[in-house]
Amino acid sequence: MAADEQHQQPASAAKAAATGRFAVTCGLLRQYMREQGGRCLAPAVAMGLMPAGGTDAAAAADLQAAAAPEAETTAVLELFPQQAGTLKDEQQIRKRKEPAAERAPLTIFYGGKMVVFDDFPAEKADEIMQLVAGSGTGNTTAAQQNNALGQPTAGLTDMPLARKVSLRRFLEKRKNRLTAADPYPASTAASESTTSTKPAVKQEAAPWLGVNSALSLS
Amino acid sequence: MGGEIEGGERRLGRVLSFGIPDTALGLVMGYVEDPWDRDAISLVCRHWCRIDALSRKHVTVAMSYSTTPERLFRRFPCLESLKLKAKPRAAMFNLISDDWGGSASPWIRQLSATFHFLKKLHLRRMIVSDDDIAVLVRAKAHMLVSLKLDRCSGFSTPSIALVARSCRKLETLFLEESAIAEEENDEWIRELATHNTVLEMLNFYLTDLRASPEYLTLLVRNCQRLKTLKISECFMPDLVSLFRSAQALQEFAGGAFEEQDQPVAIRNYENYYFPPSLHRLGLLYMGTNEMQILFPYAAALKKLDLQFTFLSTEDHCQIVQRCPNLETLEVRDVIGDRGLQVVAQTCKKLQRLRVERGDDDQGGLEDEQGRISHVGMMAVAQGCPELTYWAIHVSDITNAALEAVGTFSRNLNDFRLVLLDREANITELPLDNGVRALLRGCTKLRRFAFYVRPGALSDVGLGYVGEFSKSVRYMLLGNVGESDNGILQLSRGCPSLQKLELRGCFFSEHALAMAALQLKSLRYLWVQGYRASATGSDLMAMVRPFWNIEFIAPEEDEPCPELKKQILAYYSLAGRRTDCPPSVTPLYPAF
Repeated sequence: MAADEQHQQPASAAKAAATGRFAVTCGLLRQYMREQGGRCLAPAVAMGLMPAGGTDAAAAADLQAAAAPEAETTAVLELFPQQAGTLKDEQQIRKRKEPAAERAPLTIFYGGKMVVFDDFPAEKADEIMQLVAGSGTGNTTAAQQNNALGQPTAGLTDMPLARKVSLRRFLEKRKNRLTAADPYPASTAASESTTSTKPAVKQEAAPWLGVNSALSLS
Repeated sequence: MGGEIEGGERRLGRVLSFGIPDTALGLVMGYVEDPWDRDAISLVCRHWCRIDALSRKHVTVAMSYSTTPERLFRRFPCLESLKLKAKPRAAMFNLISDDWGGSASPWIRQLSATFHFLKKLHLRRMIVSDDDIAVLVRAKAHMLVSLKLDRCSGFSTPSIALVARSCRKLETLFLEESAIAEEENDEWIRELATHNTVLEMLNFYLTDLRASPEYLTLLVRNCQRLKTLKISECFMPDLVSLFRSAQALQEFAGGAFEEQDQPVAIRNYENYYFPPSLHRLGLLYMGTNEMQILFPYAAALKKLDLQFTFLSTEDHCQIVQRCPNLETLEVRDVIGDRGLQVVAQTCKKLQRLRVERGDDDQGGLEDEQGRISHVGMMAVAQGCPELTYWAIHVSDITNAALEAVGTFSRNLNDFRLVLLDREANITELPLDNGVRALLRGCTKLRRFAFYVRPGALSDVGLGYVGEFSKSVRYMLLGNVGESDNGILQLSRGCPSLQKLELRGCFFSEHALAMAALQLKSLRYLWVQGYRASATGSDLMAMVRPFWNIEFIAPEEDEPCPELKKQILAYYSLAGRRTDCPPSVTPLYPAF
């Protein structure tokens, strides 16, 4: 869904947070299917919702529920806006065919396993979508998948820059010196006192936790 | 016909190989020192390979698990100098657990028993036990000239004392950034000062080792050839008599000054004495009140390390403008764009520039002006044409800055850029075109690091990296690319790439495996932050003979374990590692 939104509102939309959008889109999809009774999907749906149902459902927790095998390829194609037209056309054609039969091939990737159904009823697919929506909210893997589709996500704040050990030790010492009022005996025994102010070699907390979260705004 | 020509060339090759007497060949090879040339020589034929093996004096094993000590000895029995590296570079950033491996024991046992000519040993990022040092000293004390325990751990000061007492020929003792137990025990420096007279380099910079000024001074008096002295913290006023004695000293780093805002009277460092031979200097914890210590010597300085000082942007400007002869400058980003502009105006001979990351945490206490952008980068690119090494942490950047590097810094062989995450908005992204211009211009580039943020280098940009980094051997990429297509594009190029490190890129395991197969020179791959499959089975696509694949799982109590997973893959003739801790899982079938 992330990449698809980029097509409609290029660049600026890309900055929106991705978390939660998956669940919202799944909800919309469910609502739409209820309203339309599974018949005659309009082009707007193909543009706005089906890719979400198709490829992004795939994202959640390694679960890729694709209405047809071609949906797999969209993950790559969606990166190139100039191809968006053909992409939508394909999807429209596919969607028009499927509801008529109300049964379609379905491939599910979940937990490292792949299951293929040749002839899967539409209402069962709907149930699976609901399951996915339930399990997929706020899932980090979903965020990662979005990223792979070309959109930076908030998930990356968890991969902050690591700091060189030597510099980290120095900066801690520096902070201590500038903030603490720990007296420093300036005598010939100074070398002793400098070692006494040393921080421990091992830090109990991970050093990268202190980094700010500005990264997500990129 | 083509076959005939080929056959003819082959015969000619053999005539050339066999036509030169072994002695002559060995003598000629003695003048070939570049290991890459040596590698090429050894591939001519078996005979040349043997002559090369017997005449090779130094070998670097970039990954200690890539071969065995026995195999190394079989091929190079006459080695005089050996450098070994073990833990991934990430260990310097605290990203590798202490129990990962990298023990020096098997190596030290073998080289103590067999390498009869070995006199120089350099171990980097390895675990060296006290027993290892005891074994080494027992076998090699009479001939060891250089011992470097470089960012190592596992040993304690009594072992250093043993080395100091026993290795009377030691000219180089290097312990920089090693974690050494019993650091309060300073017997080692007394042993060194009283037993050694030939020392030329002593380096225990950035360690917690203790050394009293009295014994350091004694050491300097006894070792008249001492050229390099890099120590831990030691109060500068206590070193006055040391510097008076050190008439051959060329490099000094370490020391310490009073803490700022102390009630004690501020000392006057204006007349501090350094020997006239001193050209390379790095003073720990130097502040605004003490920087005058440098001024009388600044014009002669070739190297200046200000990474571990308390100086402001203005202080940096004051110092740098007095240093027109600098060849190496190491600072934190507190130097600011303004400081870099002074560097560009003043330091026309600058060859190496490192701008490290300062305190950019929220509430950090660095100088407000202390941030680097395209402004400072462009100034340096235009002002310092001799640069060969340039590592820089920037807060903002544009394509034009990278283009300027490509245009002016034609001598660069190592360029590393990190885009910090403290600014929410970057002036210009993506940097695809800038990277292309940089790589096109800097044709001598051998090492390239580009650690940015999501959106800063697209798949197209990665394609450029692949296309234009023809001679790059080492590459670090962080937060680059948009999809698997990016790494696949990159892997179509980079014909010389041997070592690749990726962090935070979120390529799938399958794409990583495909890239590893496609990069034809690749022999080392480290990845953290990728799109892991549930079982890791997609990595199996890169399985091939002699290619070790290891999966490093994060500690269970760490936050976000998904992001901490690491992959390490490397060529190895040694086969499967036998010392994997529980956190390391070898993924390959054994060959």
